[in-house]
Amino acid sequence: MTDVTALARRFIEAIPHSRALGMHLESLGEGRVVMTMPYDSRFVGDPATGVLHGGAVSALMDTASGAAVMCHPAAPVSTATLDLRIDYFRPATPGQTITARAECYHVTRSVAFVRVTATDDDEARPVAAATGAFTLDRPRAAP
Amino acid sequence: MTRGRPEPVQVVKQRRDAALRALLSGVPYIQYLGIQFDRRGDELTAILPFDEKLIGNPALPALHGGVTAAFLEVAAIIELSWSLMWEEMETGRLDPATIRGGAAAPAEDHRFHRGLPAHRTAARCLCAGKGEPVGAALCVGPCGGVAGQPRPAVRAGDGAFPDAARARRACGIGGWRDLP
Repeated sequence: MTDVTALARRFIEAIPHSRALGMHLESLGEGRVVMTMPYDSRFVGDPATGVLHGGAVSALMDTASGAAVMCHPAAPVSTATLDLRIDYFRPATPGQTITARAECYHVTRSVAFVRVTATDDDEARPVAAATGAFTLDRPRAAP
Repeated sequence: MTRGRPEPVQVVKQRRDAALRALLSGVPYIQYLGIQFDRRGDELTAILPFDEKLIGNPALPALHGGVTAAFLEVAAIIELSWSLMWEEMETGRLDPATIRGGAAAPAEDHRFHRGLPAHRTAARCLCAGKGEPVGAALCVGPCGGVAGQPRPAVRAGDGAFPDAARARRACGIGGWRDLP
């Protein structure tokens, strides 16, 4: 299991866009991941209110979902987004870190299914939630 | 029936360009991703030039799924805002100073058809009409460059979309004309 999480961590930390958005891996294991993204004025979508752009929240949820796939016990070597359906519930409160909690709840031979929620400091009221399907590249069996 | 003198085309162009600039400027996330808009008449094409920071999978390399989502969302919101303010803008009643940078919290549905080559993408958004949902489709050109080398998306004689007109045609936007 340690190998899987180490590989997943390396995979996630090598993603240029996640680094650019300042995403941080808080915890991971067994198909579950918690990732955070600190507030940054560069990612604001509405300059009048300072609310983060929905796209930045999408990017965080997408990354956390992919990370959840990578640390699933099926031990995939790679993954990519096939489908991500997002519901936005409310604007994220300006100045607060966004936390995404993703769970890879089912895998088939080549597809992984994920659910993820994004919250700010008020964890009782999520900012957004999404369900997604991701490719699952399994390691080749030893010859 | 009497009609006023038609406005000079240059005045119309300037007004449209100023309105589009007002819509885009002041949205930090649009600047951060480097999204550009090409306008022909009332038609907008969103263009996302290559940038290393947009990569999700360095091995392929492919754009980050979140970037694709954000790009579509920006294209959809700008197109929606643009189509809603069009009439008022054309009559000259709209003051560009009152335009707020595109911001909204849409309910979305993203469909990823495949991993996107990280070189060139263009979005096409269809606004079905006021009150109706905006459908966004994504068009991808074949890889026309080398990963890690930033380059403008629209450059003459360059790869898949040498100019905005080809990008439009690739997106299935037919009948391209040089509109004001």
